[in-house]
Amino acid sequence: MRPRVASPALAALVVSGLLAVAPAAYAIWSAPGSGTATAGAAAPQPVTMVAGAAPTEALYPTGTPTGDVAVAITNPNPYRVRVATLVLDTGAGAGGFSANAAACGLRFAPVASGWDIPAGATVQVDLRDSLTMAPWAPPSCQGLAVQVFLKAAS
Amino acid sequence: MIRRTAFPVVGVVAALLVAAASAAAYWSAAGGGQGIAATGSVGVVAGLNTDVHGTVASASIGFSWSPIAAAVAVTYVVERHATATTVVCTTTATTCTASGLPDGTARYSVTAEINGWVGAQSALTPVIKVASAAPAIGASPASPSAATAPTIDVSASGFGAFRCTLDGAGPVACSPPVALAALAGGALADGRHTFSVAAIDAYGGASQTATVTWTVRTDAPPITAAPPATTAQKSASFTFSHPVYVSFRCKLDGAGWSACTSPAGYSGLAAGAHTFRVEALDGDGIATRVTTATWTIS
Repeated sequence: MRPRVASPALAALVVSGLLAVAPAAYAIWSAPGSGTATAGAAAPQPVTMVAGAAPTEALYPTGTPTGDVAVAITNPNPYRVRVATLVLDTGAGAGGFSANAAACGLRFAPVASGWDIPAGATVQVDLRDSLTMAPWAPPSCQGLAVQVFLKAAS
Repeated sequence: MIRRTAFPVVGVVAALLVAAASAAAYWSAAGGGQGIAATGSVGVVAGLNTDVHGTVASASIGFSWSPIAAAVAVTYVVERHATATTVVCTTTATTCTASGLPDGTARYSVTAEINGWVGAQSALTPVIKVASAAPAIGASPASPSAATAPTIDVSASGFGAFRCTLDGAGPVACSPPVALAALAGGALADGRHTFSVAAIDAYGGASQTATVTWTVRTDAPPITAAPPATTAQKSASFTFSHPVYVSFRCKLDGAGWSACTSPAGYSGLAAGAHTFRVEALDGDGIATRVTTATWTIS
């Protein structure tokens, strides 16, 4: 019969070890496109986003959410990743939008639906009612294809 | 009760749960890129429809059109194009009735708008002429009038159909000359009467209304002085008057009616029974009822 004190001690050791490794791994994998692997884990590549299929909702100068953003999210990693939230990348383009819409008073509401992207897959995402155009948007804002710069956020 | 020997198993399970929770966090991905959005545009209304064409009597015209494709509220503006362009309807519906249109020819269009975004103008309608002026009333009774079955002549350029109202009854279809006794269902009674008429176009639209008001008065002129019932006098004199009429016509015995004034005198009369009649004439020469006086010369 083995000593009874050995098992709890072993369990505590295993738990402590896992708790110590997990945060470290998270800190590494959540960094987009950079960093080094430790404990033998490869750094995850950031997802990429390109214009998706045609948007289904046209945007009008109503001051209310009327437009959608179509985006195709690609996971280059050999494992599934989750995109928790998509926010506007205000540092890109003209405040997050292509320059052709700079005068249109566009606003993007972050979408936190959460999308699981399978390994090596591309998922088409339609962010419905995520865009609002100011009611004072000039007529020159009609009929534009607007690029919306997005970034994933946790 | 958990035996002490189970502690290692519990510990391992707890560790796996913690690890699994941490793994979920590992999958959170970063990255960025660009999506695509599209702004709408205000389309052209396919066409402006109306049930009327040519010349219309009504100053109101109904229009309808098909909505443009837009997922937001659209305002439609209907315009009248003549020497100047004016807005005659603004609505979010797809129908409107433009009222108070001025007389004249014009074409019409509709334009969609979304919060200041203005679409292209629709195709113009064919020319529509509004001729809403009230019909002309020609011959009509004088006022006061002794006529109990007068006719009234009406006319309107471009229209041959009319709708008439007499003393608030109706309106009924009528055609000139309009026989008022037929509208009234019999002779007009003494009193004030009002006749109204509107021209009617091929679509049932009505022009503005022309109205004439007059008074019918048929009471006979009273004789205020006449010979006694029996007299030896070979002459006679009659005094009469009327509250509103100033012309009279008199008749003695079998002679014909002739114009007369008060007092009306006759001389050289034969012995026997005589009858004097007098009636007043209105401005149109229509006679009132007759007052009769009889006497005998002995």
